[in-house]
Amino acid sequence: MRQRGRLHGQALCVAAFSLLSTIPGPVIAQSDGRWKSGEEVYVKVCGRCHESGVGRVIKGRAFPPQAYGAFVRHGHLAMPSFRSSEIDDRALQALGEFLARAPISTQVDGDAERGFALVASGAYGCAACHAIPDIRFPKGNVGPPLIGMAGRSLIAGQLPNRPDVLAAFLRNPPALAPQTGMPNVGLSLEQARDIAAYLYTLEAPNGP
Amino acid sequence: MGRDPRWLLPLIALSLGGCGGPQSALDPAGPSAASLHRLGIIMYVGAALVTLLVTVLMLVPILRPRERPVNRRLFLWGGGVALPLLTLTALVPYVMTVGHETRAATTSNQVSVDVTGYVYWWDVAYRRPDGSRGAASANELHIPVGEPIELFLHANDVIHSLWVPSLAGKTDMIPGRVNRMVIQADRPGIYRGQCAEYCGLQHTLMAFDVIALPRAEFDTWLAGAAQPAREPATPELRQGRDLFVRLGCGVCHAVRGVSEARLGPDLTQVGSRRTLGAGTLPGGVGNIAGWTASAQHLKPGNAMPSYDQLEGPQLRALAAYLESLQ
Ligand code: HEC
Ligand SMILES: [Cu+2]
Repeated sequence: MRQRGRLHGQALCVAAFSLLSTIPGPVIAQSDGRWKSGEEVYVKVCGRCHESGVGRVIKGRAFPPQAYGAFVRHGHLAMPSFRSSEIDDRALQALGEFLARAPISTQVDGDAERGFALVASGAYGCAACHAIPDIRFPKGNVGPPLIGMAGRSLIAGQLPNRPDVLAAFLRNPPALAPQTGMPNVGLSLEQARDIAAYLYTLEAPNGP
Repeated sequence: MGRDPRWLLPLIALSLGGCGGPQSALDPAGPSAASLHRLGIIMYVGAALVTLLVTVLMLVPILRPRERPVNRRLFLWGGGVALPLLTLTALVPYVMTVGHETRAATTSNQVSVDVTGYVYWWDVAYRRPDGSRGAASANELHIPVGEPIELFLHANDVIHSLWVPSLAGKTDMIPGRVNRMVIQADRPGIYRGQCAEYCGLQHTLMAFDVIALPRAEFDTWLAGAAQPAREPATPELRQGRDLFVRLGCGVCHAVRGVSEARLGPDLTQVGSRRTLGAGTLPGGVGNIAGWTASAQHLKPGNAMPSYDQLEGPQLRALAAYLESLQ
């Protein structure tokens, strides 16, 4: 089921691209003046899903600016479409330009100390499965030790180790890695970010 | 002696810090613990006075060497015979009455619970009016506040001892015997207990919680606990229940309406348990998964095998099912 869904998505993606390359960018710069910048649109609209682990990461993927416009106007899989009464053409163009240039957010916007408190509380069971350097008991041995998370290449052996991906994985592990044994323990987005921030403080023992 | 005495403050704070909390004989929360506490205070104060007296008597000849001789007769008969005779005569009958609340007579309408010690966990079963085994739990005893509760203490294998310091003194659990004990909590709260008789490798990880609730809440809890476990509502939970049956968890564990065994804790409400493995881990789905996959790693030598042969999604389904049993 999942596999088919993904292929489906890719096909749509390609279709959207080829369609777009024939259309010139937004022709008339209509603006109702509601949006001040592409970034504002991103933060207030797109970010709801694309910064919260619901939708995938769209920053830093360097699509052509119009590509973003196509997704916005037509929607994509679970993503709804947005009309020009919601995001006007000029704001859409600004959004595309903003996203085409935006770097991946690599900074961790969680609070490591709060993250550690959540881990140490034991309520989410992290240490029942993982050995965690700052926790004496329990030292779980079901999943991998978490020492060195800061420099590890892959999360769960299969996902790129980036802050946004890690936070999304912590929130709902089986959604990103269907075969994992790690359950969804009901973290909020903020909690997941805090724990991710804590995990990025765990350097490998012999330095990087 | 000119040192700043303030260095003592942290020490005092540290030692006073140990006086409160959910497991403290110095912070009694029930009549039995209160009378033990009173006896403790009398003994500490009495011992301090005696020490002081002896010290003073010792210092007298040192500081005033050439004074008149002491009255030997007064010393021997007074200090050696009369004083101990008086204090002991007063103390012994008093001590006999201390903690008698734990032996209070049965009243009608009293909550009676069988608590059985296993290596290394506690089975808790509420008696129905006809004496048969009713709602069951493990490692947690819910009681109504302000009422004497009758406990019948058993042991399944070796000698254990039930001790909830905030509520009462220790009572041993001896194989082949039933010891009776009455406890009472005067304020709602959670009181921690601990096995107080060394029983093997994991004796330290054999804790116990007494959860004292207002009577109405207790009745609701008890009625809920006597119900069969909730039917799984989603495909994942159904998969979890099927795994529970197929993997043989039910050979050791009871889940009301699914299995009946009593070699391990009753899991009918394991999703709302405060701890797992008798205080080894807090509750919750993450810990249930970790415990199921590696019980022997977390609590080596306990009677449950590690289920380390499961695939990820199976482990998750199993843990989600147990978590749903509230
Ligand atoms: C051989 C008997 C046995 C089998 C089979 C068994 N268990 Fe256990 N289980 C125990 C014992 C004994 C304990 C208590 C261990 C302790 O705390 O010392 C326990 C504890 C637990 C606990 C913690 C309960 C609590 O309240 O502390 C959970 C959860 C649990 N088992 C789940 C399972 C699952 C799921 C399975 C099947 C995959 C399973 N068990 C199979 C014997 C067994
Ligand atoms: Cu013990």
